[in-house]
Amino acid sequence: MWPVAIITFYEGVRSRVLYGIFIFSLFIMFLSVIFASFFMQEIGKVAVDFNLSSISFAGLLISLSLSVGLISKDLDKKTIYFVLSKPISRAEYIFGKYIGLIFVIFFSYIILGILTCIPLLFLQSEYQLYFDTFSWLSYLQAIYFDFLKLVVFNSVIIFFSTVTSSSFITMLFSVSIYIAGQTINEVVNFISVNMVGLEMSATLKMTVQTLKYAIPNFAVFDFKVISAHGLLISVEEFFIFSGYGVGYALITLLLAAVIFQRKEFL
Amino acid sequence: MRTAIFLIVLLLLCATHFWTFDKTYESKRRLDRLVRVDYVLPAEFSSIVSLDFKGLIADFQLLQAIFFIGEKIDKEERISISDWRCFKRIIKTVNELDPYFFDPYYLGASMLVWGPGMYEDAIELLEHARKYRSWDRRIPFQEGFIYFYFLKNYAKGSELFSLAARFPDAPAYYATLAARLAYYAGDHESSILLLKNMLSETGNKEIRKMYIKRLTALEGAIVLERAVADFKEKNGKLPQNLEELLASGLIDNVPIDPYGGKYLLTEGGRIFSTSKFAEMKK
Repeated sequence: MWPVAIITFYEGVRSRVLYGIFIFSLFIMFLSVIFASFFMQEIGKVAVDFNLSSISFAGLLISLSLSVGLISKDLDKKTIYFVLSKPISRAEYIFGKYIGLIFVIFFSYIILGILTCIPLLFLQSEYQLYFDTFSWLSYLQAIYFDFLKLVVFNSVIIFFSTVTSSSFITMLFSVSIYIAGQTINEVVNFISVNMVGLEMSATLKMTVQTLKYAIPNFAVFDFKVISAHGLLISVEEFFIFSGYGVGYALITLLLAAVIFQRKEFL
Repeated sequence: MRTAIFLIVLLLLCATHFWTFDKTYESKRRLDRLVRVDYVLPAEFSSIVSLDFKGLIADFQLLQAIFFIGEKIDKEERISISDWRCFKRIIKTVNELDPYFFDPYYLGASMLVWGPGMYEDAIELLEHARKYRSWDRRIPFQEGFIYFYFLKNYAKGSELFSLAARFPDAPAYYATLAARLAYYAGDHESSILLLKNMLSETGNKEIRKMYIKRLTALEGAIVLERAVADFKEKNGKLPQNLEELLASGLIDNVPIDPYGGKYLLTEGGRIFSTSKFAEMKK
């Protein structure tokens, strides 16, 4: 499993896509300096919003550009036969690919995290008065949970990569799940409130209640808003949220491994 | 030769580019202004489509609100009540997306009270702010100011100032201010004290402009009230009108009301203005 992970990591780090995304993020981060100065009081909050959003967006782009084609590329180029001829099981191959990918994202997040400190430190020194609620720990909290969101999202991408050999369909399914995962919280909130004049069918309610366990709830990993105000969650909540993310990713990967084991290569 | 032609063409293209950019920019601005922007996406919807970029969308929406009203103020255009309602809806959406965000509460409440006098709406925003920003002394202070200054509800105003004074980081004079305002409710000097405090806590140009205008108007009233008091002390009676005060030599001239009204002397010796310290329609 580890050799697959290491190869995937090197392959990812060498990818030119990664450089493009870094340059894009750098540009966005420095834009944050200009954007933040449009505001009156909470310049720190706006700067944090901008930088965390650019990290998050870059993370999504990295996931979609690297993960989607990860397995289909091996299938297309037939390199999968070479890998599986080695003493590596199909499940190990899936887990190895996934771990390599997570290392690439972790590595990218460390670099993006360090880069975003530059505009933040600059703004902090310029507008010291308007950074009173800013906290580095809270900032780190948001980056950690955003990374955790990608841990889950990439497991979903790997899952769809094993279901279909087309990278386009994998991308389509993954993006759909991403949007559904971001909105499922709101939908569940909406149907749990009894609104006057709005009758919901019992079937619809039940479908949503079932779907909420199947679809990853990405909204729970979004700590950008509260971190922008320097707020921290409790240690207990930290472990519950982390447990949910890691648990969901493991279940998805196990299912992906099962599907991949039964897959016939043409 | 070829290089020269290339450079001339490039120069011409650049000039055309600058010209077309300015033209298209101006035209687009004019065209956008033809369409009445009075529809704001409901907060619930914005929250869903923002995915995990709620904070950033809130920032952009606030900028939209600032430009929407700021441009009208800048151009001294008439701002209708439906414009103000639209402004309030944008502010509400921003705070639904990010309920901890201070700027929209502060800007929204300030503009709504000083502009159209939508006091209840401003208080609604600040009540919402108090639920989320429970650590922020500026929120009860601003709410107390609205109760005290605009609604003349001195008891509620003083209660909120006292609440602000109880915060650990509150300046010591907050408590004195609360007590003093409770006692001297309604006089111009207390209002000046309050306004000076509000002025020291804001960096926003538009809001500062509004405060300074009001301060100038109040200071004019105070100059006159003091002269009236001197007149009474000297002559044993109140002057009939401001002309009599002027003739007595206690003042050199009647101050100008920045809101465009005229200062008047009431029977009790208090000074008011025909503008009621609100923008007069031209």
